Amino acid sequence: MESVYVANFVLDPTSALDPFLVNRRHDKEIDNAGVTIKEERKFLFLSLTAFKNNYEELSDVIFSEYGITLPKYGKISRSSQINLINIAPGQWLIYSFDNPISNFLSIIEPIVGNLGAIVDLSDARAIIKISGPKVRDTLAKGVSIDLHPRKFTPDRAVSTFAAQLGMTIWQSEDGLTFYISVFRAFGYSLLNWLITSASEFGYNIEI
Amino acid sequence: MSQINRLAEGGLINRSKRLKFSFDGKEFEGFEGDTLASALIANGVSLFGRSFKYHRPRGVLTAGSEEPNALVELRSGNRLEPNTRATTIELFDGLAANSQNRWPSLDIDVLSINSLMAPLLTAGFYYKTFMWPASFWEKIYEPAIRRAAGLGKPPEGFDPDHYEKSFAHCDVLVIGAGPAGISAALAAGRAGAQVILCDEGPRLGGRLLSDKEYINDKPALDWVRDSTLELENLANIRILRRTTVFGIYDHGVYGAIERVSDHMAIPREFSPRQRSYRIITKRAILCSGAIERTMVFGDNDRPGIMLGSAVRTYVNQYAAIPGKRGVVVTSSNDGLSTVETLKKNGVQVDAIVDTRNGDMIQHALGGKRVQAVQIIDKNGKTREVECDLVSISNGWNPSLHLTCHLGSRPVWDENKNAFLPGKLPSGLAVAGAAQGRFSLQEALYDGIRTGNEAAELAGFDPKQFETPSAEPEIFDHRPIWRIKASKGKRFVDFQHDVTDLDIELANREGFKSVEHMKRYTTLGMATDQGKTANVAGLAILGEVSNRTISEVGTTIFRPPYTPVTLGALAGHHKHHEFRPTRLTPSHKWASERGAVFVETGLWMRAQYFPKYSGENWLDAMIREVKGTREAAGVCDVSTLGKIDIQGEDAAVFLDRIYTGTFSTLPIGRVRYGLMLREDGFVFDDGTTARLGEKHFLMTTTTAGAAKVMAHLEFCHQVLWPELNIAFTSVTEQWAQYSIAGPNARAVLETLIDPNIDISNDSFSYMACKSITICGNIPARLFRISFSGELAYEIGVPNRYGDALIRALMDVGKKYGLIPYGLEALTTMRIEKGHVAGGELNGQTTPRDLGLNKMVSQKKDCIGKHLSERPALLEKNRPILVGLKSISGKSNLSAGAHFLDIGSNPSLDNDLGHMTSTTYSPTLNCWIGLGLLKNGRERLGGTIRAVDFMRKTDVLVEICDPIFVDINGERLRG
Amino acid sequence: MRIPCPFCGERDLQEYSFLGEAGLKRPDPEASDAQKQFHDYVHIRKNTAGTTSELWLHTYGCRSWIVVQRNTLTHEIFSSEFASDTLKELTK
Repeated sequence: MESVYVANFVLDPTSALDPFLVNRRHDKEIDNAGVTIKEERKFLFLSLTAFKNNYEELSDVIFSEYGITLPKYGKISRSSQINLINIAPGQWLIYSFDNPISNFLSIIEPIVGNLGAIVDLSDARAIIKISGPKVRDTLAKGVSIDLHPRKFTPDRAVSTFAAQLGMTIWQSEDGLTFYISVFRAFGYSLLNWLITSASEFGYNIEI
Repeated sequence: MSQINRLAEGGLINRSKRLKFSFDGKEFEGFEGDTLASALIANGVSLFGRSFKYHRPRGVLTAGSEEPNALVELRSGNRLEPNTRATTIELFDGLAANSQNRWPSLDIDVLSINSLMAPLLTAGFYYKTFMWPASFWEKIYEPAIRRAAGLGKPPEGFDPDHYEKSFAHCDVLVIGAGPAGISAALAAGRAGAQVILCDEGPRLGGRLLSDKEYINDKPALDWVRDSTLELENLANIRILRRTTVFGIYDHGVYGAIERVSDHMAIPREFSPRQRSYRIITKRAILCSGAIERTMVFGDNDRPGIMLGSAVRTYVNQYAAIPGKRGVVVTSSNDGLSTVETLKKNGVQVDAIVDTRNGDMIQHALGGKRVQAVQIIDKNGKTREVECDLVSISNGWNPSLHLTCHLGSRPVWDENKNAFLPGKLPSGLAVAGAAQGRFSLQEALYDGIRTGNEAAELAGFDPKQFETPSAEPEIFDHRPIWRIKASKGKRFVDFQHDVTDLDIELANREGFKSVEHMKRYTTLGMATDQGKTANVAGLAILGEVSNRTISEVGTTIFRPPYTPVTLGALAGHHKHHEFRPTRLTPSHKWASERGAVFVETGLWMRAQYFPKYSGENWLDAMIREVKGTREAAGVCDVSTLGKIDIQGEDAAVFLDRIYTGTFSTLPIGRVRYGLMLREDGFVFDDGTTARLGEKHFLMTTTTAGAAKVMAHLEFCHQVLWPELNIAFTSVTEQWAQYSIAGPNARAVLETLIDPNIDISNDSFSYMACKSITICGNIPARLFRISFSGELAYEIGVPNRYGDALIRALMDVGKKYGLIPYGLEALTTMRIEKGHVAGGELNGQTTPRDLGLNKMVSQKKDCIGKHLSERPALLEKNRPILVGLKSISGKSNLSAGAHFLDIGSNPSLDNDLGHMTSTTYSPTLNCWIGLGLLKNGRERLGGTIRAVDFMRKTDVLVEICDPIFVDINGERLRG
Repeated sequence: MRIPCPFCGERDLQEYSFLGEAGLKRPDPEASDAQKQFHDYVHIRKNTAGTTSELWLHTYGCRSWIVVQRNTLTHEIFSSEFASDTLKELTK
């Protein structure tokens, strides 16, 4: 059968939680909510793995391009354009929430060149941010890591297993907002757990 | 009102809050601060329940969680809780409780006739009775035992309350908030450490709430009040009231349960009923106090016979007197203080039996309440004393249960006549009575010392402050384990109705080890873990077997210390939230479409798309298969694992883990890959595409994705760390759809941007490339086919997954595109003889599956050597064949075993089994794949497929596993 | 149980997957008795009751394969290191 290209067929992107929040009955804004929950919808999220013996060179290249060092030991480095989270020896997540640069992949791939493997994971995650006076109490219901501010500082990220989900958790630089990243397909389960855990404190979901 | 035994003044109850409650349907009144037990005692009630075996009338023995007798049914309907201890239930307005284990009523219990059967119901009777005749077991004995067994009945429906679980971290965990615990928390807290202080009860204070002691010459309750205030105001101290630490686990993990709402009629909105904690800490201090011992004498279980410490608790803490005429029996000094407590509050004390003088209590008379006791003095003279209350004090057992949880055994101390903690779990210290240091002064001192030490070990600076002072105490305790020359039954374990004679019987029959005695008599096996029974039991065992208590030893306690409701261990994870749900990119669209979903691991996948409501799975599947093979079908295959592999040594690595060769795969091509375990059996399969010189994209089965990733990382990090390679899971990055059928190409060409050529010449079978669709949306196209039709898989970044399926269905309409689900996918792959889960069961080799050609002989790979073990090369190993139902009508069952016609069903005659089955719309009959001995030689023959579970016995024809388009012409078109 | 990861620190058991005995060397496929050696490599284990060297994967953490010295009777953990020398290098 002959086929005809359908011009101007537009594909609209959806976020991980889009399909589920649109039809949700949203809870009324409540005063003094213990936590505020919001999905981070537009973001850049790449994985960078240093190839063997290229770590030093890669470090130099990143520094000269972005002015930040490749962090070690689970720490986070931040610049105005991108942030780096060290999630494993020789592996980083590159993320950017505010004004994520489109085509970033095509910009950074030549910079990294043969020094490391870059993989786009911007579609592979659901990221929820949660803030408010009761954040730590809410997260403690499933996260086995000590999130007390003197132990879990804004320069640290942890990958762990909580509420039966693999998740990576870190904070904003001012320590007021927590970010939780899970596999995209688990976004709705993460939201449900957060809501259940926060229910005794009161929560707002911002769309 | 009628609280006849309530004192006019005193107690720690809130007299301004009257509460109404009922017990066995009768209405009573009490006050806020009462427990159910104290309120009933204040109302003159002494009968609380009937014992387990003999249905003897029982009252309250204790005032704490160690209570063996007063087990009641609390609440009703789906909130019903059986076996709740009346001594720890906090009274609330409207509380309704019922006694258990009696019929028709507590007062007149017909089953008390069991008492007469006592000689037959001794220890271990169930090992000796109900044996003969064997046929009676199933129809008569078992149902009868089932009806009679157990204590209390469970609720029928779902619990309407919700439960939570949580983690908590601290520098120092203090278990118990009596004088030792309060002191330890103050010391550690003042030093600046993060402290969590837990207590079973609603208030801090421990024994100080019940005994009128003095600290620094002032009433101890003042010290409790001031300390509580200080603790509450220290930001680094978290007090968890109503929280029992029920277990110690490895590496500084403690389990605790907080009864958040048990003291209310229903929980506050959004509040859980209970919350379990896993507390993680490097240092803990056990300040759990001690439990008083009773004595074993004739009919020592009569209602009204109580531990001395309990009597003092009811009088002092709850202003409830358990009787009007008391007899106080003691073997130590502290027991004598009960005399003063009773007299001060208007209770007559008609006799004081101090066993150290040689006086003994022999026998308690009475039925539903104690009415008198028989006392014998050291000269042998007996007398009867009328009474309605007997207080027994026989020393204390340190509450060291938690110290055993990691396997260490308590050690008997001759001087203290008590078991003390043995080797302590790392990081745990013990203070006060739990360590056998029973005086108040020692508790205060120990608390401060251990609190300071723990804070120091945690890196803090302990503050110096003075230990508060208390009166010196001398116990002079000489325990009496059993008063033998007494009439009546002498109970040791009240909850399981175990008497001293049962222990003697166990010993006579050879169950001399304390572990055997425990199981044979069931002493210590009830919900109270024998807290008030164990030591007396093993002392008696020692006596009759001529051993010291030290020689007999003790059994070990295991978590939980008190029962923990399962809901609190599950928390949020029940019903649909039992496990997380993993949703595919097309999920929303598929639900709108009315798809029926099936769980594949954590994924929800569309099983089939009913055209009209109520279309059954078989009709839908037939329609979907026909539609795909005749025109086009689209299926969401995003769940298959996808792994991005990059690096210098990517190709070399793939050659080592796959049976085939991937270093020779050209860029832009895809190859089927078979992966073995090191023991030679097939592990997983998939297709791997070469996107660049050093860039591959591997796919795995849905179920195998995580396992394969772990395997690749193992091979890289453990076996070959010298290889230069990087793996990243991209399963979730790409929404992937399979489009199959004669019109598949046409459908795709409507969306693929015009400059991209996917004609058969430019993009042949097993090709792959990066493309753009719908105006520059990046995508990846793979020409691979699971269905055997002309097919492609198209992957787009997941954010476009929802939009793409809608677009495909829109543009595809005119090409007859329909959606197909897992059911149709499975049918089509079986028609093509593709192996999947049923065949990749971990017990098959490439040779078994007819995939020997996929194993390169020119190189090693994981599993190569062991896949060629002699047994795995044997000629008669079952190998893959196709099966066709001969009659065409009968269902074939996966799991059916193959037998020759006329042969006896036996292991020897078993020729293999059916691995996958389906109804084939293309052949119009039931077909299957299976593993059959000598399969290839028997092609064309007939065999039976027998399934005794589903009761099928079908004749099948043995054929090639590829049922449709055996030459693959449709694939390459 | 809590297991220390050389990268992530002490973490709950739930984050890990257990494989088995560590220190086994994959036999040379070219050896003349390769099949026998592979058989032992895959199936024969010391199964010590006591201190053993074990391979664990930090599945939900950094996904490093680690070698842990642990006493199987008391659960005491003595050491935890990366299985891969390359990873050891990277975290110096």
